[in-house]
Amino acid sequence: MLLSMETFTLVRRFGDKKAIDMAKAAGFDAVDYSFYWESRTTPWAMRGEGYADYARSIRDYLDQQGMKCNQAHAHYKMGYGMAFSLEEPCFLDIVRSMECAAILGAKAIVVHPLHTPADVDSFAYNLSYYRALEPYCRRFGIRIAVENLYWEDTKFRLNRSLPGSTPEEHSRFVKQLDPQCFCACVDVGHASLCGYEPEDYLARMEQGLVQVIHLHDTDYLTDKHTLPFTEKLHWPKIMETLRSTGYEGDLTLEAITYLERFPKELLTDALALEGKVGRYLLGLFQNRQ
Amino acid sequence: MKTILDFYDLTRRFGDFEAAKMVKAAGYDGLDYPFYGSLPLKDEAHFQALKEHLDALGLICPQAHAPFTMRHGMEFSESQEEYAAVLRAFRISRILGVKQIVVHALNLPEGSSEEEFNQYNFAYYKSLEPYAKEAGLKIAVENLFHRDRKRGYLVGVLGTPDRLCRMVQSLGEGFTACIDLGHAALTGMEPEDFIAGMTPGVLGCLHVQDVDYKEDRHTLPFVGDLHWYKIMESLKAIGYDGHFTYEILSFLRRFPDDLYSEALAFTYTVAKKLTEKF
Repeated sequence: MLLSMETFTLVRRFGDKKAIDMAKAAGFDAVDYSFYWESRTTPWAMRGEGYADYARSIRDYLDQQGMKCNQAHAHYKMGYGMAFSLEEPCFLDIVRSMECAAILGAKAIVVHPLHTPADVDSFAYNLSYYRALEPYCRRFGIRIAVENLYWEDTKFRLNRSLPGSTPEEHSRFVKQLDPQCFCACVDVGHASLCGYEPEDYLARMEQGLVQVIHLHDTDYLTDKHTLPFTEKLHWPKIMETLRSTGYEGDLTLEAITYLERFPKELLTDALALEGKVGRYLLGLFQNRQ
Repeated sequence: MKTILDFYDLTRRFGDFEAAKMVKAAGYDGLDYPFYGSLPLKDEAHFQALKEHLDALGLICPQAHAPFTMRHGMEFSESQEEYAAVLRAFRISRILGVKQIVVHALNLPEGSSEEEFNQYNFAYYKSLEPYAKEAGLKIAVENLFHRDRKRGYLVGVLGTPDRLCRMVQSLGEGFTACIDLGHAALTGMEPEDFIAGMTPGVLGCLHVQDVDYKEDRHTLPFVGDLHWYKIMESLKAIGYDGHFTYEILSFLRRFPDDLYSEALAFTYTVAKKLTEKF
């Protein structure tokens, strides 16, 4: 099991190679590469001309450093109503990020489900969306991880999960897709925002489906994406549940907001603490703490 | 500028003596002793021993926080249990070498005027003054807030520099001001502006904590949304000569014991970096 971290904040501030160096120095084994960019006009080497060559150069650098890219995160600008075709720039971005992630060595890439209008069958719509991406999973040799997301129901003032409103529905959704190409990702923070203790959400997922995890802390109210133990989730219980449900993936921290506001001169220390927290969680998972 | 850490979470978990060692190991200059919350009452001999322990470690205890169980309508007398608890905190603070102790102002019933608030609290603080003087302490008056339940928002209590300074200056020499940076942000002022608005010489101490402008988070600088370099510049600009005293209980509270020292060391690194900018 690898200890991995989402590196978008570092990449944006320091570039790909320095981000890898920093993650390694903080004690991580791997990076979770995010294919985010602010807008379609933002320069981003991993999507412009020569993107594949650039991705190969980063893969070489990872190899040289003894680091891995265990998983990735596709861009999330795709929305309801956009065409499931390469003519659609947002769809193309996702396909490109799948290709680059595969080059980097990622086993899985998270692609968000789409929030649909109330009168649309969300399950069916999202199944067709993911199935449109399936050929690219086969072509590039990468799995898509279907993450539990949420949307804010402003009328009832609550968050609602998707795909499906329960872990059972999340499982049922993923099971309707080809297991060679798809798996589930559980974001523990998102689970907490939708009325679940993350450990309960994980326990209710069908065994073997969850192959990717996003670990971050929340206060059950906002999607804080901060460092475990600085908010309110029950980390020993989460780790115990991951272990007891036979989780075989890596531990990936998605504590983006935690790192975001630290000035450059404090970032190495902030990262070092994140690395130690990650190792501690790994110890909990392995029942060593 | 000395770096001081609020001691509440540490002493609650590890006890005074072990906690002091941890504060020292992390790099801090001293601690802010809490006389509030669920900490067990200890006798004066305990605090004399603690003072010796602090001296041996080279730690200071320049600041303390009185209990805040006193309420409007209670008697300003030693026969009132909650009032006596404040006086007890004064006596123990003297043993620990404390110079400034934060005593919260008392909220008045809804609908009370500012004038009524000021008069009532003036009488409360003045009643405490002889005891503080005897203990060699200055009483620090803090900017607080309360929740307007009807409207669902937070209202500042002594929540502008002008109000805070007027209260402290009216009370006289035995008093000083404490700015809680997070409370300032929660009640509509950027902390750097609150600091800049203080009358020179009135600000004696700080509660340094980060917030998201919505909740009283008491977390580590840069984990919330405050503008830390602007805050430090503002402190420098007004000639602040007090300590940098953290009140970051929520940041530390949930770390397991095995990670606590690492988290604590990191809080000091942040404090050091900020005070270097001062």
